[in-house]
Amino acid sequence: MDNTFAEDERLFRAVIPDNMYWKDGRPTSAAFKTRETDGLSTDRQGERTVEEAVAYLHSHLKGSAVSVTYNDCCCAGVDVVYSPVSTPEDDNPYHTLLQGIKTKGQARALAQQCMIHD
Amino acid sequence: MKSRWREQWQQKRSKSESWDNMSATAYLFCSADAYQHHLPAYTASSPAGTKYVHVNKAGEEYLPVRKLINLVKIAEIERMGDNWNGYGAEPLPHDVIRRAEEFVLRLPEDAFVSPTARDSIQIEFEKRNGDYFEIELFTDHFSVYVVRGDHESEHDYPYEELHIKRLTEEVEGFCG
Repeated sequence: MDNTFAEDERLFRAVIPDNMYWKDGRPTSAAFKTRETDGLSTDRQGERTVEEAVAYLHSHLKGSAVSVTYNDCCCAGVDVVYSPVSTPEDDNPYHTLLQGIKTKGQARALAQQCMIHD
Repeated sequence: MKSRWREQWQQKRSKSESWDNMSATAYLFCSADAYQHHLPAYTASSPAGTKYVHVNKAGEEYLPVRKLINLVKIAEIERMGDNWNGYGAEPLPHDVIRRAEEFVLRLPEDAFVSPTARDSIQIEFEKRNGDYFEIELFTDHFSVYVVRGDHESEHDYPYEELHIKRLTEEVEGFCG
């Protein structure tokens, strides 16, 4: 995988704690806020099916899985940067950062567009 | 003393089969000293029966149950340790926790409270028509984001009484 994404490629994130973020059946934008310097960690779909990607996410993180598409991020003005992790402590070939979430409107757009998987 | 209202709340919850059974008109009665523990500045500067504490016909003080739910949630947020979101988030600063308690008590009860991974707590209100009012509490300031129809705005404010009071009025107006 390289740093190119199909428009409909999905980016998965676990919503944790699962009892904190759900409002009327959808996650609130707070679940998509992180320090600007960190970027928001996700797992890119890559060549996997949605089910495989969700199963992989749940193999290392609990909580509900949600996802947005690359196109959702572009529309919200969010940069998508493929950044695989391979260290003794952590190994995730799908790790991808959503960067440039500077405004509340961007976080809310992701919350409104995200697909809920479980 | 801090745990008294929490214990009362848990007792109340245990009597209900589900959260749905707790109607908006169901209230939990709390003792005044519980408030004093949480809000010494307010209770010291204002007499009993302020707008933050409701009083029923029998003269008993109580909190609307939704505010109490949010205070319990904030207490849970305060207990969250390292890596609470699975992505390396750090515990939230204590002063942000205290601000969240303060704002929940001062603002209308329909607030939805949630933590963020950027050392802040978010309080939001939303109408059925999509209009949205969000307050994000940081250590040294709070940020307000409002969406009304196609118009949206975002502004930062210091924690000064003038701004907090104005915010409270705006949210009360928003919630109608």
